[in-house]
Amino acid sequence: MKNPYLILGIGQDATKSEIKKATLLAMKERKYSIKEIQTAASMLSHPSKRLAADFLFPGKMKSKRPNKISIKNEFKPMSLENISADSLCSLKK
Amino acid sequence: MEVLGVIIVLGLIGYAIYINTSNYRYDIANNLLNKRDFHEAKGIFLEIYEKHKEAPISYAKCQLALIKAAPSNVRISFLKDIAARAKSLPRGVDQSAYSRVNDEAHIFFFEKKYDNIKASDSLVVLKTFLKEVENFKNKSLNTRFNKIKSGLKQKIGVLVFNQALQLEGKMNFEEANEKYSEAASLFKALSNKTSFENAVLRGNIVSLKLGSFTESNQLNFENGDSVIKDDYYFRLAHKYCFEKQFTRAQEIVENYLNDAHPGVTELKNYIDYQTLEADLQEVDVINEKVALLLSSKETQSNLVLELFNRTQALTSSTVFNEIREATGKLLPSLFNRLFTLRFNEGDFKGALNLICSYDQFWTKPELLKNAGVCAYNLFEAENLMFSDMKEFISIWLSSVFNDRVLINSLDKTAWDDAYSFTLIDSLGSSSKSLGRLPSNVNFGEIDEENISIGAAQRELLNRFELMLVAKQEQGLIEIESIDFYHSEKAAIENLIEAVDDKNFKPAPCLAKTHGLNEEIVEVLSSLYDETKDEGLLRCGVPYLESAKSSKVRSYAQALKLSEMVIERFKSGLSISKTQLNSNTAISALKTFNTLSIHTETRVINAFNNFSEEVRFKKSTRDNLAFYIDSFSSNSKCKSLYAKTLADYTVREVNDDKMSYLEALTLLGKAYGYVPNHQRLCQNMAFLIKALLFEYINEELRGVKKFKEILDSLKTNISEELKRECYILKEARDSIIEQFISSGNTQGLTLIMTGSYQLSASGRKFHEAFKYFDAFSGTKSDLGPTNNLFGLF
Repeated sequence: MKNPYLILGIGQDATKSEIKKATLLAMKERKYSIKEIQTAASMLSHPSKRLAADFLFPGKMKSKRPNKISIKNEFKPMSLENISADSLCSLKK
Repeated sequence: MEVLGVIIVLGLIGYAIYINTSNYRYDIANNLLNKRDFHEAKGIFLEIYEKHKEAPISYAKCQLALIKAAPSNVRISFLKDIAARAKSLPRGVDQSAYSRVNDEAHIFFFEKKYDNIKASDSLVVLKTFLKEVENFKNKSLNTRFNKIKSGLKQKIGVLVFNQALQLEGKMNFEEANEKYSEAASLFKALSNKTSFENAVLRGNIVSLKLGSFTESNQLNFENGDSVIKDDYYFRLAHKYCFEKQFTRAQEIVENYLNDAHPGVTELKNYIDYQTLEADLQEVDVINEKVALLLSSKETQSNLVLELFNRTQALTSSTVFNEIREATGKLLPSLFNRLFTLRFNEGDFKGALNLICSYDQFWTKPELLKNAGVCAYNLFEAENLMFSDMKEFISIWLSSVFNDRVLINSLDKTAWDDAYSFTLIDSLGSSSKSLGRLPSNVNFGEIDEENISIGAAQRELLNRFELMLVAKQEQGLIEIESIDFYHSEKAAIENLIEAVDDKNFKPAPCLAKTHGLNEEIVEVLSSLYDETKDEGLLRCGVPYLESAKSSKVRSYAQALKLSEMVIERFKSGLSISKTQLNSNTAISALKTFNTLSIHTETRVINAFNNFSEEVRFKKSTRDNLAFYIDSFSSNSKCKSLYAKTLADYTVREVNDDKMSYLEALTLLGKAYGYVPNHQRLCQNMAFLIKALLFEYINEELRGVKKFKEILDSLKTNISEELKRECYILKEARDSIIEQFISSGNTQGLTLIMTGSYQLSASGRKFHEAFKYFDAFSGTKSDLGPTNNLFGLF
């Protein structure tokens, strides 16, 4: 089943009168069959069906615009050479 | 006198012979041995060594006693003598008895020698001793020999280990490694776990010092000395740091080392510093990519993908909360971009995979919804394999049946200002489970302004179902996909109806894929415990798979058995315990009352749907009888069985296809099930009467069987059969009347009394009368015959 908003060439926020106008226009343009246009119009005029149609648009997770991350390394610079592998030596001299 | 002289001479000669025999000599030596005069005894035993079969053994015992008494430097000569003689024992000597003495002598010798081992004894001395013990093939005293061997190996192991320590101290690592390995083998054979692990640990330390440590070396040690373990793990962590494998180094430090030690703290700080450095380098890369993304006008899918993957990887790998939080905040936006990219490109599978990679995606309504939308589009756009379809169908249903998903999606609708939405007939859970609702969502009645969310959900399901049917009609999907859809839909509907809580209610396939089924089954089981509503267990069956609940599993077995019984019953296949192959399931079915009753009803319906011809078939009747015999809920089936047999036998008897006796035999089985069935008892009474007449008239075949049946019935007669047997009383009275009216009262009397004067025919009358009386409840001294007795 095709997207009714696409068939009528309207956005998801279209009002009832916009749907009516778009239906007439779509009938004139004949990009889609009359049956398809009628089905799309009927779907968007009926709130429950329109809710179902809207459901099929993917949603988005809540998110913020990506920004650069700013973090500093507050550890003191260290070198492995200063840590002896023999620190825990268990061999008795 | 001469005779006496001869006897005395012969006696003296005999005695002279006796005192020179080996037995006599042996007895003397044995007495000496008992008196601990070993040297004397030994001498005599040696004299008769070849002549008496016990002598070599006793001789060896003397030598053994002498070993025990002798100083340590002399013992060996006695021992050698015993050992040497063991190789060439005279014929007839009990070899095993000699071996026991030989073993005793050797173990005594070895034990004394072992006790005298000095701390200064060299490895060569100990190894030679061990070889000596191992070379001696004892046949007894295994425990003592093994104790010596183990003790020697332990001492050798310790010496080898100490040698290795010295070599390690002298930085001769390669030789030290060999020695540690040798010591480890010895300790392993002795199952000395601490010494074994210490040797292995030291070997690993030496390998680390040499730079020859490999990943195949043992990592986990439970029994070694903690000081050696700390040394080893520290060196290992140090090595990983040197190789810049900081994650591994960190694992070692966290899992095996105590950071109370300053060296460990220092190493830990170094690892933290380096890890943070590495993470920050990755953050720099991410920052560069973010800058690129923000500056480009068009969304670059490869860039978004790389950025998402890098950010996700860093978020899950970093140990620094600050980094995790910062990258975590970046993820939703990148996720949205990547998802939108894939979705808009028509890559619904890729978009769905992205959602599924999100940890517990079903807990986020917007993700669950998008997963459902992807699944819908995948079905619409592609020809799918059934295996893929199953998951997509399950995701779609889980999404649409979730009220929270629908409520959340209302946020995205811009046309709903004047409307409110009601959940009154929604498909998801009730008000209790949804928590706080948006202001435009309620549970009010549906009207033009208060729109039904349930209607929208049903519209979505309807659309999907129409699509499935259309695809199936086009030959693009198999009917099994549609069946699967309906089974998943029924399961989620039942689950939502059964359990009213806040938990997510997935369709079974999704639940099983993500391990959510275990909890669902548990909840259903505990609800069943409270309510005993079998519907709850039935609801859990589609979710069962590997879940543990024994109740749902048991119900599933019973349900399967029930289906199998019905299936076989309907198709006319024989039902037997072997074919059902499950005594466990049969007893399980008996415990579930509702299921049992339901099964019986279905069996009866199946039976009633058969034509009369099929109902009367032996196999059908046998199946019904098997059901009655095996399952507890069977009272209706019993009546049905009785009625069927009554109908069947009447038809067959009327058509002369069955004898009276065959009919009575068949009815007898049904009588066992329902002894008070009116029609059954009526027919049986008629058959008994008819058969008794056949018997009197000498027309009956199978007299023995007939009597067996009557005798059995007589002892177990039901009230109903008694009532129906009034016809037997009538028959009996009519026979008596005939006798009287024909004037043969004398004959009748003889029959009634069972006189010895009766002919064979008369005897049959007599026996028949006894049965008439038994079944009709009359007695021979009652009724019309009573008058007869008055006549005579």
